[in-house]
Amino acid sequence: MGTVPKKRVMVFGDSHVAAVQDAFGDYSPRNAELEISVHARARKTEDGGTAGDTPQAEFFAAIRDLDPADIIISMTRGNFHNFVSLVQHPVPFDFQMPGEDCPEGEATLIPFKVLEGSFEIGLRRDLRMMVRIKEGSKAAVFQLAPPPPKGNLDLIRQYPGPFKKLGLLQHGLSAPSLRVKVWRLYNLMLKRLCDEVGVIFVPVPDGCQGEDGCLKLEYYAPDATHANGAYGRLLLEQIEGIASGDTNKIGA
Amino acid sequence: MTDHPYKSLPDKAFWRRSVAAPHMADVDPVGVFELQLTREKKVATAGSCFAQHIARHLKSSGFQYYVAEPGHAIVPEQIRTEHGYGLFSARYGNIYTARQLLQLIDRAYGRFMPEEGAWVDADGSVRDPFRPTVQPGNFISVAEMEGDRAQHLAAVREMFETLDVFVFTLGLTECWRSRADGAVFPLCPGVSGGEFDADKYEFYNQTADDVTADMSAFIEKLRAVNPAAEVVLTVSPVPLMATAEPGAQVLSATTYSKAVLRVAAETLRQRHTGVHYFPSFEVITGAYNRGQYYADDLRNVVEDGVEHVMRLFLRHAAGEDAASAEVDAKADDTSEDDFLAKSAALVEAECDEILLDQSAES
Repeated sequence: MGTVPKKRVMVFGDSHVAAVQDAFGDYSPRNAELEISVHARARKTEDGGTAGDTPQAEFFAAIRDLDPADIIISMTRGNFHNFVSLVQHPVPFDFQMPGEDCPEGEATLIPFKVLEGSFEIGLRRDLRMMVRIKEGSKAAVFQLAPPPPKGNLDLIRQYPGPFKKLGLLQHGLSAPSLRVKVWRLYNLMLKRLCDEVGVIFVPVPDGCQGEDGCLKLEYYAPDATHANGAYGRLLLEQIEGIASGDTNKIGA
Repeated sequence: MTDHPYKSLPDKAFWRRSVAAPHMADVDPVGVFELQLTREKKVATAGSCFAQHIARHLKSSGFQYYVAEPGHAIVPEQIRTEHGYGLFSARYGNIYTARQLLQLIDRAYGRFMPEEGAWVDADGSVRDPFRPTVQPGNFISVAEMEGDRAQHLAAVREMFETLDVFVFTLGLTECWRSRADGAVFPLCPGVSGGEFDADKYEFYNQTADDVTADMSAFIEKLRAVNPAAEVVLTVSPVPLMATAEPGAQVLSATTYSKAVLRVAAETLRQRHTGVHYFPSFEVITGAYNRGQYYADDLRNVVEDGVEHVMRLFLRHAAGEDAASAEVDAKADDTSEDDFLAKSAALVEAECDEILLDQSAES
């Protein structure tokens, strides 16, 4: 009798995949039938350097060989919501989410449909990559939600990095409540587009958010937008659950 | 030969010399038009569909097309345009009648608060009865609509108080109004939102006296908050889509409507200083062009016609041709939010950095 081939799980993404890579070295899957690999898309950076470890062409060549029982976990892009709301805009804005109260206050109210249209433009750019992955393989494709925003503004300010260079410190950071709302809208739109192209959207792991919806402190990477290896471990457990057929780990 | 008054008149006073004989593109029906437009003057627009063309050409000709309600800068230009921002100087949609304009300024300053509530579609989405098509997909709640309306009316106030020139295109005399308080609607309830109820709404066709009185009242209220404001009136050459006047035929109803508006415009010009009439209606409808400025539906105006109007408008108001003015066309066309671009660069930079750190460690 030959050995049963392992179920292959390929995780591929951009900056958010770093959390998974951090956790992956020490991670032992409970399910021995899984063969998990983690890849960060290689690309040139603005300063002429390189980032990531897997050229896109190499990844696409690899997923062509996957079987229908294998799975691809996409963590591509996932920062559009930060473009929109990480730094306080000079003209503060707010919006109403469907089924929730309409905000009151001084901030400019952007009608939901206007913001929805704006997000769709941004997300459709991100979606192209997802469609290429979906069309390039027989494996099922899952798209992970990006980590929730960070609520501790002092900790974010400790790592000004590019903030300072770009002269945006004077504007400050948006309120965590707005950033969480924008992130929720992003996920709402992302799920809708995933449904459109046959990709399965996966929300963030249980227990990673505080009561305010922000990422819990223990999952902070030392920057403004990314999560750490502990969060990466939550993702790996979630990924393993998905690969083992635990549909509770998948967003409805 | 005896002398008589016609002997000393310029060519433009004679049909053959100024209408029948010239090349179509050279016909210029402008009579008295004393507006002096400079590139520094803020020009606001409102009115029927044709006013959108004026707004578009002013913008592309380097003049200061004034948009008091541009939409939040974080929203891409394409989406703002799709959602009615920038089509006119504020997001009021089409203002077809003089009564609608008068009620707009009164609503903006809290002098008139119509009883009409929000219009709720079958899918639960919400429309503003006074601009029912301005928000594609509608508002998601009454509170959102009311919040957006409050912002809109604040922008309208700002526009009226700070504009230099207000270009208003008179479009229609026919409208529908609330029996409760006389509030007029841009569209008949039930056409795009709302529900028609003959007990609640009635047809109203304005007379020349009505239009003149409404516009005079509007001009007084505008001057009360902006004494130096100049007003340019035009009459839309776009015919009625349909008439609700009992027994009327639509072409005849159009002729009545446009005649009323044209009479009112001339009366207003003569009565008020700083009020000008520009004959875009004559440029488009004049027999000299043999109908060539209308599209196949005999309603919509083709681009050649709009260009003819705007060429004359800029020549008479600013002393230059639109073509030469296009040098500075990009002046007000910067839509990209610099903040958003910087923020995107920031986040991208951070993403690169973390990956670089990681690859250095591995």
